[in-house]
Amino acid sequence: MSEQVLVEVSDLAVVLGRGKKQRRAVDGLDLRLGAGVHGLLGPNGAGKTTLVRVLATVLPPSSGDISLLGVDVRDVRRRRELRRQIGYLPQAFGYYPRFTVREFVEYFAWLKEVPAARAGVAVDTALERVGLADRAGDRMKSLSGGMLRRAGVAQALVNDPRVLLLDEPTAGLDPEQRVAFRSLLRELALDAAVVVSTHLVEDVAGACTHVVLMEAGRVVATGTPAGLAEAGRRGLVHDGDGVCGLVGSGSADDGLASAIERGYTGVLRAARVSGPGAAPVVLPEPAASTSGAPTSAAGA
Amino acid sequence: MSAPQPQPQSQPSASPQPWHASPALLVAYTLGRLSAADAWSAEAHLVSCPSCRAELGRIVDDVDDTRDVLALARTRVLSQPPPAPAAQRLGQRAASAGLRRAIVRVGARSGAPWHLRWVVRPASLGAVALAVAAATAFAGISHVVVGATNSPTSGTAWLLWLLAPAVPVAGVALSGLGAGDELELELATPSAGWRLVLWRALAVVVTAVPLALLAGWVTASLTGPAPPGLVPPGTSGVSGAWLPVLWLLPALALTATALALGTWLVLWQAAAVVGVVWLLVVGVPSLVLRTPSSSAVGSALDSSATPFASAWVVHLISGWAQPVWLLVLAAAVVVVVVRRDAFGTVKPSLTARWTTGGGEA
Repeated sequence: MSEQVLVEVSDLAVVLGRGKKQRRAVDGLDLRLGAGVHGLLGPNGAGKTTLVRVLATVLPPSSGDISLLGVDVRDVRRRRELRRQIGYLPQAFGYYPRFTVREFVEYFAWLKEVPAARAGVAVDTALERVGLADRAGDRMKSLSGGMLRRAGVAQALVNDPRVLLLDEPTAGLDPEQRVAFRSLLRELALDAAVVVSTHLVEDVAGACTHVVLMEAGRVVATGTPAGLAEAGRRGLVHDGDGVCGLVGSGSADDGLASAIERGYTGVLRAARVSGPGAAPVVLPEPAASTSGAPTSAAGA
Repeated sequence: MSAPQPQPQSQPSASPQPWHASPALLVAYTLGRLSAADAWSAEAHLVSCPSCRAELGRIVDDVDDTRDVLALARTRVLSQPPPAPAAQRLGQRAASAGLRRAIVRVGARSGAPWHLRWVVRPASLGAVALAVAAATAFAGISHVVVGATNSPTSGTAWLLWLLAPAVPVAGVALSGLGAGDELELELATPSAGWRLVLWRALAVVVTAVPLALLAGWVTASLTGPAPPGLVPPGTSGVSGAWLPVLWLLPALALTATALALGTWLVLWQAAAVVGVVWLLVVGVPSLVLRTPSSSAVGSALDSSATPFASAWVVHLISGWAQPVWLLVLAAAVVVVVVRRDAFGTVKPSLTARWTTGGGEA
């Protein structure tokens, strides 16, 4: 896995709304992401969607710096070149209902300036990857919710992005599709930063190499799923300066998903206690685990 | 009677006893070992004899070589899509699919197959054409029913004059509206921004303006010489049919203003603002300041009912107004050029849907 930093965010703030409704959806957020699947976790209103939209260059940041692939998102002259390498699936997306699935993906291949000579193959590959090759001729309006979601993923993939931003990609997918989708994510993340906003712990356990926990517009913890699970098994203490220790020896019989869930709630509780001024927690790795392998802790 | 007869008969033609091919003959045929003449005659017989065909089928099943060949042929045949019925193909050709294919074909020849197709398709050109057709129909009906001429100074034709310059603006609004929040997806792509917006606006203008001019020409061609108030200085004696040319500058200026405003607002909302302002400026004085005779429903459509409305529309479009429209157009173009990069990011929406992301952070 490449150690190159693909996404770098420092002191990001995003102010949404005007007047009385104004609020800081993202407030003083720092983040550095390399290749891998990064699970973005957090309660509703934590700022996950806002962060993803800013990373997708759709929403301009109010203050702070963001560079994707070494390019500042506010650099208008390099925006076009940058956007060729971004894939984005928003939480809700519209579509022209009379387009066929294939036309929908072709349209985005064109918008993303995929060279015409390569576009046909790129569209076929994207449709196959999400399992929609046999529905390519169907109109978008005839698709079910899960299929629409997969069509949305297909358009995000079509340009082979190096920064792939997926907001709730598994919503509406049935369990079998979710499994296939997670292996697709791992495959894509070999040389790309894949950011997946999700609230499903199975997604984190099954697909993510890293986790980023958000609360009230900032990052409260970073680590790996195994680290989060370890925190859940053993209990977490930290002194408010981002130094984190584990108490207890942990119960080995705990499953990975439920351990992650307990780690998640534990970290959030700790973050709420220590308040907005505290530095993000760096989750310690379990001693025997190899870094970044989500399945390594499953058998423990 | 219908049982296969293994022995070949010596007189196949006249005999009441039907002749049947021997198994040896069929095996030889199956394996391709018959001479050409024998194979043809065997085939001629097989075509007319069901029992020999059945026997051939059994033999083919028993011969290993042919089984593989048949299996291969079968999969190849099945993997090809069945040909569409001729009627269905004709129907498709007649419908919009035909137009689309024609566009793609033209595009492919010009070396830009993608471009034209994707610019034109979401641009709601059909709605634009429909709007123009509706306005024309209205003017035409009023002409027939009321007997009014379609000069803007009389009858209800002033409504067409009122709406026509705003038609491209409506088209631009529709082209930006599309399916709702697809803009969020499009915005994250390198094509997002002024290129896409301008291409689409161009597609709308190229469709709407000639259609509007044609509609105006059709409805106005029945009128005589242009009324004095409409004629630009120095061009007396112009035929009424050419009057809709006066729409051109206002239409372009309104469209460009919508685009300029679209650098601050969501495009369809910007177009809506321009459209509403235009209708207010032209429509409200026309409707409110009618002559008293127009209060009766029966005379509302009468040619004498709307002199002020007509005069107001005429003033806004003709004569001295044309240079003003040119100035508006130029100013709007300057704004669009200077602020073109603003098309590439999300705009504060009047309905606040885009900035808050639907309420979910």
